[in-house]
Amino acid sequence: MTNEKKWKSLSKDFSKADISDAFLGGLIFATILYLPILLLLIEMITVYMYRLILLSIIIIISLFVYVLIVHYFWKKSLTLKNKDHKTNISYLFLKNTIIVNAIILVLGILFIVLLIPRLWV
Amino acid sequence: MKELIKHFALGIKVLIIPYLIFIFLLVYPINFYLFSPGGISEVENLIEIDYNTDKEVSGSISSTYIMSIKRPTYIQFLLGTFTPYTSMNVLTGTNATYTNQEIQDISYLDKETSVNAAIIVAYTKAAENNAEINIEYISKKLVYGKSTYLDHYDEIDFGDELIQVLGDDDTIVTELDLIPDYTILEDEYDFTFRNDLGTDYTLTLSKDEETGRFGVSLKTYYLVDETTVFPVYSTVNSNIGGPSGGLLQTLSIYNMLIDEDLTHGLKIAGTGTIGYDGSVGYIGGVEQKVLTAYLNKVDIFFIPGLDEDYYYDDYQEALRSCEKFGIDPEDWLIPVASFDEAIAYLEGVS
Repeated sequence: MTNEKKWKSLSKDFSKADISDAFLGGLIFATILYLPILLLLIEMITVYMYRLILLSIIIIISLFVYVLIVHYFWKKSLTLKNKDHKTNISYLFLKNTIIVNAIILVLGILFIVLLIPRLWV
Repeated sequence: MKELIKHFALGIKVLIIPYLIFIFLLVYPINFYLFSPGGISEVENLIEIDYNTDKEVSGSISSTYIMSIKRPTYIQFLLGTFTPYTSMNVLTGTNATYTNQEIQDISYLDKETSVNAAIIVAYTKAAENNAEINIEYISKKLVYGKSTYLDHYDEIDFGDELIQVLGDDDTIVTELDLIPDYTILEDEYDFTFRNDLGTDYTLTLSKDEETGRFGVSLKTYYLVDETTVFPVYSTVNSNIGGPSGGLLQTLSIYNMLIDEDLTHGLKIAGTGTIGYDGSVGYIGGVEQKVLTAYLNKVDIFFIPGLDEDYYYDDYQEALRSCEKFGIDPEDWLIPVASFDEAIAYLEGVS
């Protein structure tokens, strides 16, 4: 089944409002969980600035985990809404996660290579 | 979303209090300051001069910055205790009365004026052997401190220029050292300032009953006259504040203006303010700056060394830091009292 068909299958199992609501729930839950971790990492950068690159890499990795958590809660919310759905949500979201994380990786590398040398002059 | 809340209700109930406590520890500031090592920053990334552009510089000249966190959170404070590289103490003096934003404003003012001082000193020195180089400057009296009892506290910004004071017998006073002589008879006087947008404003400031002062600290700064300076230069906005990069900025600018290459392929860093006469001044956070330079593997580190008998002399403090962290200061830690001494040292490096 192609990706497009899987999304269509998802929209058969769930209404658009349900998908949006589940996504919003996932986003809020994941953000609440991730916020203290992000703040902690930022505060670590301020104290251990001499490890800036290493900590930036850790932040990028933590963002990967954040995206995974968003998708986890999104899927959980959808499953709780309709336990009898037939769509392989895990596979569908895995692809989504990989794409979003690839974008984060590119932005992260650009931040480290281009922005850091310009910010601290 | 409701189903998520319902599903995780127990977990939310159990974790909500520890979560809020953790967030509190992450955001609530405490009245301490924290110094930790930062990094080095190549001066040529900060200041560009359209001159000698085909000259090849084999090494680099960098200023050193440290992280100076005023009012850290509990977690930052805790993180600081995990490393011997960090020093922490209670916030005292004027820093205790200023907000973090005000401290940042002062820091950026210091940086801007130190870049101007570096340009003036380096251009003046380079002009001794090159008639093409031209530097002229203007003096301005700028606000660099405010006391809590200052009237119109929020209307006067750091960096605003004092234009005049309407003193006794309606005398217009423009010189800083004459202000006390012409503000004797009354309790309040009209001060005219100019803000960074070029707008003049006049405020009536009254003397504090206890101190007899107006509560505004002013200092004369010399700023480059950008209309006449040659070669022209440009600076980029910097995230790093403070005046402690003055000496290295001066060295780097000077190196851009002369034909020889002072760096000799070395990674040069250091710290120290620069005076308009080329003298080098003390800085804070010596231990963290020495560590920063060491962690960044610089070849030469310049530090203000003005009085070897003075316990808190930066060089003496840096030597103690080297001993503490097992750093060999020989031919690495170089004390200098002036810009000329730094040049002489670099000219002697083979």
